[in-house]
Amino acid sequence: MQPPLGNERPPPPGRPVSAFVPGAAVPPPPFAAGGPFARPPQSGATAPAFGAAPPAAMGGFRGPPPSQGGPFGAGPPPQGPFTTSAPPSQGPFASAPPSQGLFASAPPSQGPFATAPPSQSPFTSPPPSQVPFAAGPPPTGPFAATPAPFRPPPSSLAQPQSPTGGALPPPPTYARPTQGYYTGAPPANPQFPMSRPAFQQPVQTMPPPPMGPAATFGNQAAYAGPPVGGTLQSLVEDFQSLALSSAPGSLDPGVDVKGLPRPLDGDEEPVKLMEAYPLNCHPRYFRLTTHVIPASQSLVSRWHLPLGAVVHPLAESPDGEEVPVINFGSAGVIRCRRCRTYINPYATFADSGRKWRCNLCTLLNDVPGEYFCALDASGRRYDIDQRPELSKGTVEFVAPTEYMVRPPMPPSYFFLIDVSVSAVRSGLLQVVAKTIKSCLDELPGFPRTQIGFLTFDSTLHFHNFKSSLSQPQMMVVADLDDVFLPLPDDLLVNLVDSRHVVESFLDSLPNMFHDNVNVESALGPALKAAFMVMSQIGGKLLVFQSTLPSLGIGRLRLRGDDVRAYGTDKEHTLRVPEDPFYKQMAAEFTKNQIAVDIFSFSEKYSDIASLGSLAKYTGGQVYHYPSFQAPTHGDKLKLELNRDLTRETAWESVMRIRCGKGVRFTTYHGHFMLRSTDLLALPAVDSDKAFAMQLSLEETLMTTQTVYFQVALLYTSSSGERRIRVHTAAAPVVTDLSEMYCQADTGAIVSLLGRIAVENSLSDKLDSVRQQLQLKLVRSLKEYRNLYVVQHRIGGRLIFPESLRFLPLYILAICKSLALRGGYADVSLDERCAAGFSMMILPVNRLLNFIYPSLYRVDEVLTMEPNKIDASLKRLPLTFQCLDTGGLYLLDDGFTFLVWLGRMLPPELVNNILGLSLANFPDLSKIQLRESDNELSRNFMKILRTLREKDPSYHQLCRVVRQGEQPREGYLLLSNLVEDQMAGTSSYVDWILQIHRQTQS
Amino acid sequence: MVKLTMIARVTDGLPLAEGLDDGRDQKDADFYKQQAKLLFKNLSKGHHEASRMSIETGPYYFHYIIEGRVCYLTMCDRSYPKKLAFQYLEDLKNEFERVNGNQIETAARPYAFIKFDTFIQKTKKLYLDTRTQRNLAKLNDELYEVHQIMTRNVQEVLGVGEKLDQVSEMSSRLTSDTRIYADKAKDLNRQALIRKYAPVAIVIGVVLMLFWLKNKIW
Repeated sequence: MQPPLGNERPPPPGRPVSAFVPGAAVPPPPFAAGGPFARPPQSGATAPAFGAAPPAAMGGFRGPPPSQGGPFGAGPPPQGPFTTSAPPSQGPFASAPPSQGLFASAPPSQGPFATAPPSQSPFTSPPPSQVPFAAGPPPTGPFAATPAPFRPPPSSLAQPQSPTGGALPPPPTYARPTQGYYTGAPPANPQFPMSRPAFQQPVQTMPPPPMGPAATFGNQAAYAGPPVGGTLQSLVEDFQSLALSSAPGSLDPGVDVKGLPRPLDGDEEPVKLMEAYPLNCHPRYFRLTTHVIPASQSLVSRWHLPLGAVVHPLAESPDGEEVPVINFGSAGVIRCRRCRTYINPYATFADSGRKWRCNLCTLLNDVPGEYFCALDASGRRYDIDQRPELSKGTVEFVAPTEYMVRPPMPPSYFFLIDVSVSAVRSGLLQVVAKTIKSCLDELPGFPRTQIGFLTFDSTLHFHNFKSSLSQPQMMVVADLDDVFLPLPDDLLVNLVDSRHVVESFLDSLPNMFHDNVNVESALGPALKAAFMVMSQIGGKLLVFQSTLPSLGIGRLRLRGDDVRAYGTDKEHTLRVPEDPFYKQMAAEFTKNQIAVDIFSFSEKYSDIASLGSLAKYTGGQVYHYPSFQAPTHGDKLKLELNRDLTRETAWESVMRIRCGKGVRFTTYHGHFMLRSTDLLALPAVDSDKAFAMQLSLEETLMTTQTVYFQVALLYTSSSGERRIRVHTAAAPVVTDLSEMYCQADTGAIVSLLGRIAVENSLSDKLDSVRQQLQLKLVRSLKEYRNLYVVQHRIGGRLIFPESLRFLPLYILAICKSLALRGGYADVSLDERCAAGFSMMILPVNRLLNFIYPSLYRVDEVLTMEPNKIDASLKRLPLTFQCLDTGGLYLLDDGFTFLVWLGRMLPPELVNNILGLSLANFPDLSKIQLRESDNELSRNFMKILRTLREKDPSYHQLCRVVRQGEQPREGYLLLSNLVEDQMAGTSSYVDWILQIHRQTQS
Repeated sequence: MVKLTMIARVTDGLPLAEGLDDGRDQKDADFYKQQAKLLFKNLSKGHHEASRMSIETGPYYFHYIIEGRVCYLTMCDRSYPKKLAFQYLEDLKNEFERVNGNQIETAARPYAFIKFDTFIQKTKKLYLDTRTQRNLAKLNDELYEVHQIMTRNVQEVLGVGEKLDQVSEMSSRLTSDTRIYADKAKDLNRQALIRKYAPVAIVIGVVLMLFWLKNKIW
């Protein structure tokens, strides 16, 4: 009987209207009767209203036995008003005769409100009561689908509800996510009803919403709707802004999904800090996770997020903000005698300019005669304007001889190229040879640049580039157990002298091995040989590996992707290097100032975990091109290799971070080798690499007011200058936890948390890593809640500081990132490891874009004028409901572009952009986007170019996928929509609710 | 065979250039580099030395020439012909002055002309084998006379500086010591005074106190 009922309701639009009117008129009385609820302040001030609620009701809400849980079912006292309301409320349903009948059959028969009475307990439980709310106000389309999940549980009694649900015309697009939300919702609900009564009033006093089928619903919403909107709203709002925006208009529940905080503007650098501390270095170089230092151990233990910093020592500075270079000449670099701090803007001068006090250790140092300058009345030096080191947070000093153990090394590049059959077949050699050749002119360090090549399969091929030769000579060494160099020198040669030999080698390289059918790869011995060649100078070793190393020392097994290991205690062993050879080799490399970059191309498992450790301990980088094919991946490899070779690089460098008394850096995260407890050895470092570190307090109580940090990077530039780059920053010491939350820096926290999580995944199960992340988030929000909840009585809300409003989403995104998501089947082991290695070095803004990619709708932009395009590209939330079937979307995670073609996209648009028609079912995985001669295509390519220019460190490979094209769509796109529910993971709304529930328990 | 090549400014001992990967396959290279740096330091202190000199150290010889306030130094095996070594330095000097001559005085940072190392590298290779036709010809060339170049021992050369250093150090220590002595003497004087008069003063004080007490009580 019920189903027809449900179907019957929607058709006559007139009826609901009539039904609505009495309904709208009626509800107020109960609430008026409820006294305390009569005049609730606006939404923001809900809390007092609760306070005023009858204690019995409170009790009812608090103890949320589902049977009784609903606000209406709270027991005798509240029931009074409801009973009075019962008859009128029945009115609306009365207009729909069948439904009335139904209600009548229900013993207490109280219409929508009837859901309340205790007797109806199964039905009364909060979820159903919430449903109508959610469904309420006009824009609520999303909630229309919600009743569905509730239909099954409350058996017969539930059914009165379902008709109403069925009555709603559910807009299909939104159906999925909302549903996800509601299924997740029920457990969290018991708390929510709290806010409901308060919210009801304002809405009910408002003029009746527009009528029509939607209006009927709106009517119900009048009782129910706003609260849910309100709860969601309150869930979402952070504490500060809660006080600000109290307009009930914002109760519009359309906000709920869309109103959740989303970092659509990308990373927010804490630039405002520069105003408070103008002498600090720019946050692009140094960011603390919270820009204050807690004064005591107990405060640290209450701050559950990591306390630390993200350092990006060579971040590219925009034009006009170049780092000033200072040469102290004969005075030598001015440093503190005791703690070796470099002179900086926070140092103070005393004794009329003859002494300076170190700001880190407060030691009084002498000012060298050459550096002396008188002080003015306020104790400032007269020459402060001429001395950038006293007014700028970031400076570079020219290092005198004492900072050199040897003369500055020339930039040197050694290429280790796998020429086994898979490399030849995939066209790899061609691309590599061509790219290197095109880069020869741009290699840094002219005219000192050194270059060398070694190719290998089952044997090692050395190449002699002696400048007097016209053709390179190849020497083959087949002895893999005892590698030796066939020549003492001329394996690594000066590029200028031997240019013609190197060029002729690169020209002939692809042909030289054209017929090679060797499948073996002796990477280990090749690494040893490369080490012998490079050990004198150091430099950069680029390894191009296209199969699993199979011969000689460092041979690796096909251990990977063992499905049985997942979920067991052995799971993490797949992600750590198998053979200690690679770590030992890395240690040797670092000692001799050699950085290793790994380019991996295998289509099968190639144990990136082991190979990557070479890059990990030498300050290198891992590039992974799964199933490399020259036509598709060629451009990406070309541009990334080009970037790797031509970017400004700092050689043979070491980095140390000093900090004031009382604090100490304990752990470091990134690609480097720790030489002593706090000295990071970086054979090569460039603007694409950032480092993170954690702080701890040494003393139980801090005595100073301010803590200073100084990052010093000693390096050799490509031009052969030895420099010291110094970044100085100050942070105040606080005794108040709320201050710490206030100054928290989400970007830095996420960066540090991500690195810690990736490192934990090397010693733990993915599942528990994700749990740890969640636990940290929950604990910190709980702590924050404890700070405010008591004094402000914001019982049922999830509150978080303004500064951390994106943190829940970012942590969810880390959990769903390539490195940590899912289990065995979700990501191949190699890709997971490669992503992990990338996450360890990415600077903050790129990391954030990697875990929460940018999604743009481009079809609307394409027709615009080219110069307006950049401004009109807007990022969209990463959820499937943002995708319109008639749209063309672009997803950019910094490594790949994904072009998504909606099902209803006009064919001519596709035709113009792709240069082919979708009607023929082409294989989209092989498609390459080329600029063709029409406006749309030109604009489209322009968009890609502008996006690529924003981040030159990687070249985004463009892939095209069309809606519904499984399984590619799922793998490429859906798994990146981090706000949606995926197998075994929660959607954003679910996540928020989960966190909320846990912070309250 | 040339082991090490260094070019430095005489006025302040600032290194200007150095041969690339010098010291390969040599365990004690660092030790000799250190010695060479000490030599430069000595020269910069103004100990007047001949503009061409050979200094023996261990199994090697340092050869250097000073020209235009720049010192060109190389380290060779004992068996390596002196004549060739000086020819080598002469070659370096000519090229260095041609390329960088006008910037030598203004160079402010160490290894400002490190780009010169490629030339050093190339030239070194020419002089590696003493028996090539070219080098034999040079050896036989009587134009360049090296016989009167003085040979001294490294200990001797470095010793001069060391001794001077010692003297100045001793004198400075003497000044500081005398100051300490003067302070201590003053202090002792004061203590002697106290020791002398303190008992008397105490006795007198006690007596006076007794008197006073007596007056007060009775």
